[in-house]
Amino acid sequence: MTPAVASNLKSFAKTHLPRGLNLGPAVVQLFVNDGRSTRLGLINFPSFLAPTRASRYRYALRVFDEQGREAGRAAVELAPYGAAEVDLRAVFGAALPRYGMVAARIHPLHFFSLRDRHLGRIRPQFFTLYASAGMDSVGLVHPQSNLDAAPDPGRKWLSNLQVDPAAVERIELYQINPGSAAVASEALLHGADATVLASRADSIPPRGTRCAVFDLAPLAGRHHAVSVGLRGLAAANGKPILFLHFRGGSFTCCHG
Amino acid sequence: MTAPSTPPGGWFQAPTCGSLGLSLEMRMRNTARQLGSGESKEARAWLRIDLRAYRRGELVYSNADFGRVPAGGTLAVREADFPISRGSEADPEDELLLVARTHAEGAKETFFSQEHQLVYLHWPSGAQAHLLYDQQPARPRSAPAAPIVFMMPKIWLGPQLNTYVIVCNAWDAEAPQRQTEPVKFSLLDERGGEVCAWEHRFFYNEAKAFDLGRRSAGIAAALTEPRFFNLVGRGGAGSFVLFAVIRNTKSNHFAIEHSLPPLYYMDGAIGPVRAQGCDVSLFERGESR
Repeated sequence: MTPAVASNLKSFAKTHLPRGLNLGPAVVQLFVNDGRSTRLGLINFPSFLAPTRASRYRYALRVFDEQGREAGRAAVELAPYGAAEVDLRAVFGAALPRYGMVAARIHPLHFFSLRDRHLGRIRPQFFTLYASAGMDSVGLVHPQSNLDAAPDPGRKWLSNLQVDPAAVERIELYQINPGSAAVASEALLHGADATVLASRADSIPPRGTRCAVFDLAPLAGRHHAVSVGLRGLAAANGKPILFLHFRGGSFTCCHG
Repeated sequence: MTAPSTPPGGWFQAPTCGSLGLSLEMRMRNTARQLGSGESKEARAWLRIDLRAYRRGELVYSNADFGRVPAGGTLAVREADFPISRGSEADPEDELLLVARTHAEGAKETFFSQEHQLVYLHWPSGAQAHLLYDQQPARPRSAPAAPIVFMMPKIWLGPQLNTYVIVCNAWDAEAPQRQTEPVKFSLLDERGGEVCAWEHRFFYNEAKAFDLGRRSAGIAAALTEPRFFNLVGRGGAGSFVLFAVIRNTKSNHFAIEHSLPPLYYMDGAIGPVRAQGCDVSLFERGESR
């Protein structure tokens, strides 16, 4: 088979397969449950992209603790044009670990449905809101990776995000490993000239999560900007989630 | 004011959030990048920044050689450095739009992938939030403008919680000109019921900060605890960028994140999606409703 024929077949299959056979992998994200809460914003997005062919979908949620052990499963069903806030603490209760990884996969209620097949393979992107008690501090991020994404253990990555130590006294860096093998990774704190100011090496178990903390207080007045970096990524786009803690105890967060 | 003609390159849109009491700082970066294909790209030797500012489509500032970013470096652009304002006649939801056009000096490529940083600051409380996103390909003036389809399942409203949707677009247009199609917005509850709806026919090169607490007045004011909503929309005819700003109105701390275009959710043809996606009038015709 020539590459052109293979490509044409792939294109044809992509938009003609029954929905149940054309689903992307679960999308993954960090959760925290240590006085801070984690809320997911899920949506029946196929119904908005194909409104005349809307149908019901179900999200399958799985949570893993920091060691990668599965701690719970849940399902959330969404009617056409529906959306749902999923407060992980409310759904999983005491079974929800202190922090870890949540995976969300979307499934049609009717496996052989052809209604929205023209959308091709669908990927359940969702947004995550992290909040302090009382929601005095909030952070909002989109996902970076998916379950079983290929690791990139040799990659050196430097974030484009610059943080001012005069305003931010601590960076809390979380890295999830959506793969099925452990990944060695070193989290780095760089100065504006890319010199390494601090590092934390660790091995992240499969499906596990690691946390590295960088204290910026000693750098205030000496460095106008710092960035984080990684040596070894657990997934190709496996950028960390950063909680930036300000003086006074508040925080925000973003992806690195 | 007339902007100089420039060849297509990349552009990076940065809307102000003055109506929220926030100050903007853009940090233009010039860094090495690994593309989705796995290919590594070194930082360009120099990046020239052509900076323009717009108010409701009107060009109010232009500097084709605003600054240069060395390899691995940063050029900070602070809103406070500009002698321009939202205007005394401004609608409460009007914002300024800064557009930084990037040109890699000596490079043959017209567009390249590069992420830049936005920092929004609330000086009285010391709160700040950061956002990274990629510059977009600058569209030539003759390019056809397609409508956008967007979904924002990240709206929270409550007694001390508000969400603002920041919407801006860039286009190669010199004089203020409205787009041919409005953007239609619908704020939906979790069951898909419409809470409020509005439409806005954008100027090319315009930024707005829609206050969802105000627009959903009856609903938001009656809430006793935070509640989740979804904002969807379609239409327009430009190169749009959308952010959500979730803010605690008591502490003034806030979060910001950009939206994801439909191609993040699907890999089929985008044509039919643009043709019907998010059209509110189609919802009731959904056969499964």
